[in-house]
Amino acid sequence: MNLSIVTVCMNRSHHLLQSAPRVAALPRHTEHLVVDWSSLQPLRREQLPPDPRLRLLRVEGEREWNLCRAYNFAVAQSRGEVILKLDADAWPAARFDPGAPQLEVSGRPCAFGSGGEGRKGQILVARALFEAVGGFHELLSGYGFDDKDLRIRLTQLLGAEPAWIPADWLALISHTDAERAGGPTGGGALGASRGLATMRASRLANRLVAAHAPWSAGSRHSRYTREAGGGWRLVDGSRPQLEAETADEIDHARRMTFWSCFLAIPDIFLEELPVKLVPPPRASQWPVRWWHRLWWHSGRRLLHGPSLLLSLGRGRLARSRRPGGRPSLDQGR
Amino acid sequence: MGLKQGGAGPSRLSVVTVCMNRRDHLWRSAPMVAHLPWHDEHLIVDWSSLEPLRREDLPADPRLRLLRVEGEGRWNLCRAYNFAFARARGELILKLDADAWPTERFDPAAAQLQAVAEDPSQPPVLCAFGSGPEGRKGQFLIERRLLTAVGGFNELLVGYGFDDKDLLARLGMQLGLQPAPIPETWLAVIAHSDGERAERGPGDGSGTIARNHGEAAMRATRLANRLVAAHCPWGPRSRASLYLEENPGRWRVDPATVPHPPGAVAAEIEHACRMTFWGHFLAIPEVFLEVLPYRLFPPSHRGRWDVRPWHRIWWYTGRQLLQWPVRLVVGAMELARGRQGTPGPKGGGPPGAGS
Repeated sequence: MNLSIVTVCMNRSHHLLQSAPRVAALPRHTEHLVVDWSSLQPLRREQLPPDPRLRLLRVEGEREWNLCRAYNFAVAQSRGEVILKLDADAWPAARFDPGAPQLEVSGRPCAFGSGGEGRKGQILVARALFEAVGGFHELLSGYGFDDKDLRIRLTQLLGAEPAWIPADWLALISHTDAERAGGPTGGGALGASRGLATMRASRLANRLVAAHAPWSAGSRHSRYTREAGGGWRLVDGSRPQLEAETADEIDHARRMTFWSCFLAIPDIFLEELPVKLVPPPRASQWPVRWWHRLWWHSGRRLLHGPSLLLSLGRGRLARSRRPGGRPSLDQGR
Repeated sequence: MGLKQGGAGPSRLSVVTVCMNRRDHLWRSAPMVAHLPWHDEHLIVDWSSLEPLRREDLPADPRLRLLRVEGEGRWNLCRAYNFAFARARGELILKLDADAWPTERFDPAAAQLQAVAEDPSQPPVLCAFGSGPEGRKGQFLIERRLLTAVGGFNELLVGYGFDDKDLLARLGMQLGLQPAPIPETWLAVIAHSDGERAERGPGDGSGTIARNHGEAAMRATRLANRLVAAHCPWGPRSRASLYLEENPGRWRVDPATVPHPPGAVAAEIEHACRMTFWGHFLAIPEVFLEVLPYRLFPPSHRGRWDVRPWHRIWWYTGRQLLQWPVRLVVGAMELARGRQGTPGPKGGGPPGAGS
């Protein structure tokens, strides 16, 4: 099997320095392609294991993390017939067998990680299948739904669900969802609330993007050009864009979800407030100002009181709840 | 009769209309359609109206054909029109709601109704969607083979909204087509409220609380349908509902064939709907609703939301109280702007509603 492991990394060299040596110790792959997605401190080849199968490329000029565009670039640059998409914080355990029939659908490798800690984002797939569905959806951004969207499109193509990679076939470095979402970490309860709001906003927005602008092999993908120094750069104007009306709707939903979740103000009231008080994100970061913090520590806590009180009766009143508990966007990406 | 299209030879055109309890609309629109010279068939499907449509109440036009689907408890545009498309005989389909009809200007053979294809080497295809207000966007003219190629409407969508946008998105994604717009003046539509479109019944009351209830229900279904489309994209291989002809012209769905989203997706969507409806109607933020007892804020049952007295009490008291600080902030900012002589405040309301 001609297997390429592809890993893209942006400012996560501390993870990569842990995972790359473990990948280098594996015997089954023919290539480990590492793409540095415009890390502030560029990755250097000499930091990585001297394994000749390891190849390092760098994309310049990207200001924010974009998993879908980054991995589509990486897969396009890789050479194997089978791709193992592996995040910088993950590596295959000794048990991992890329040729195992249990990872195949209709005789071709197609399997997604199973279990917790971001394992679901690790994917083994035949290049032909990946290309037939157009790879990752390049209009998705931020955190969440990228892997589900790919899985859904592969399911449509194959007429059967992709297989699961057993949880103990993959190892991962444990880190928080807020870190995965790329937001600031720390900050106690307020920081956690902000992280949750950021993730919810991104997850909903990506679902809406997938609904409005389904992806396929025929979709226009980003194009990159090689620069004189050896690095790669996005070709101006090649990045796919949502139609203006759809983008407006999704930006609105994202803004409402973030501020509604973070400040606990229902969106019906948020819609009445001037945009400058509850603004959209800038460079993927939500501009949380002092008045937001003041409200979070005062009004939000005050409003939380009655709902906490009512939630005490939840056990008694929840008899008619659907079996399996409350589903939520938080339970999956 | 046959429509000359692009010199490619005659193509039969079927006008397709499905109606559930909208007899008054159909009585106005069907005679207008019967006056038109260019269609070969007007197929009307009665989607289990409480009072069945009768052939003798409709124009005596021999091109008009009436079928009835029995046993449907609820309006379902996607399933209803997929059923109708499958029974229509034309190679061209004009999907026309019961409250709409083509004006005299409508020319189904006009070159401007041809879609723009991503691949310019593709032969021209007829595919155009209504443009303008009052539900015109839901009317379209299309070659049947294109509908077949994308599997028709997504039968997993229910309630109001996103059915036409989803179909448009799939025509673009699966076939690389950008449908042309049907000029606004080519279609006439009977004006009626979004609430009526969203199936609000007479029992839903009137006034601000009823309007708010209607908006909340619409927001919930709009979000639900978007989530369904994201999780369960529709295509030609998707399993559509099957119907059995019980008596000539009378059909009934085989319930086992009606598609449903998988359990985990259905649960996520139910949760999102519940949060959206109650969050909007009662102005309780989702982060609090989630920790409150499920039973106090139940999901909808067959599209109906169970609004109890305590919800109404909260709506008239707590909700109004919570709105005051918002009004105060908005008012203060308006005042400040007025003093500075700057234009009025720009609220953050939702972008153009649409479906």
